[in-house]
Amino acid sequence: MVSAGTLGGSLSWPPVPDEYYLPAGPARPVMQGDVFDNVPFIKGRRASKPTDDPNIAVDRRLVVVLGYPCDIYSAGRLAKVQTVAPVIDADKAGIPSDWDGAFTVAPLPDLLGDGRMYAADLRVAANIDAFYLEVANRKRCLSELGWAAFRQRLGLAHTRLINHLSDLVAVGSDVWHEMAMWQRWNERGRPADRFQAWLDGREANLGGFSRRAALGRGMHDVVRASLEVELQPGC
Amino acid sequence: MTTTPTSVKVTRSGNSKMLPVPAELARTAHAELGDAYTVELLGDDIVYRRASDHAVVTGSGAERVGVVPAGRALRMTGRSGVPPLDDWSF
Repeated sequence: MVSAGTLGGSLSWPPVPDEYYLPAGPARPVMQGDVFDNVPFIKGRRASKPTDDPNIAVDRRLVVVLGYPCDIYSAGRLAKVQTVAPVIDADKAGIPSDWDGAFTVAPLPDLLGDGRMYAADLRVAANIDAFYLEVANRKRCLSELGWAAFRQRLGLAHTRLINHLSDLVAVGSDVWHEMAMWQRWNERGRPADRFQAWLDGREANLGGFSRRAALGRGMHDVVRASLEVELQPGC
Repeated sequence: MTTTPTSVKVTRSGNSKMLPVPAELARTAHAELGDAYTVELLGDDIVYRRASDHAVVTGSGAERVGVVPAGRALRMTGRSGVPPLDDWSF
């Protein structure tokens, strides 16, 4: 886990790919900032007159998931309607080396492992069916730092506020822990759509709180220990 | 407003530990005697905020509302270095 102290200290800036991404294994739940390839991105170009329906064009391309993790799931499954932004070559975006300026894009350093800078184009969004977010086509998952930086750019693009990375890490801490535990659940072969129900369960050793509520109160270690007990063979 | 980091040392005051605020920093922050601050731990960092700037969280569950501290975000102005999209070629 990234600490706020680390963010102000030894971390390089701009971050290098090892700091910015996690291994995108199949057990990792889909998360805000995940990059998928070969997703049909829909553009509605103008027709001859406004009363006519637009001319629809579909590009298969790299996209970034825009929705906040809590809002892209429904009953433990990806909700049908997802919002994505296209990925563009950063040469087109003019992102300086320190990432300053270029408020309307979110840098994705070395996204494809070719040493080039890419970016999520936050000037554009489209809706797609979650059906098209195939885990086999997932190229990258963001690290905790990467996720904070991505949210910082989302806020910057639409509000012109730069929230401190340490604040964003702190605010996202519960969700980050939740995703890590969900991944662990999946890795152990448990049905992915059952994790959220388990998280809503209550335990005596959590003082009457549900596991989710305990997580929200910072009791990460206790809930994680509870998960490990749950995942023991025979449970 | 940000300032250059200044080293300070923790001292003892009864059961509490004291962290001094250098005079120049206090002057710049308009911190006056009697002003109230909140203190919290964020990762390894101890963060002081004016009490009036601190986040207020009300409600619970889906009704939970948090007011983000006003004192920590930076405001940017002007247009992005990336021009607005005026065609569909992206």
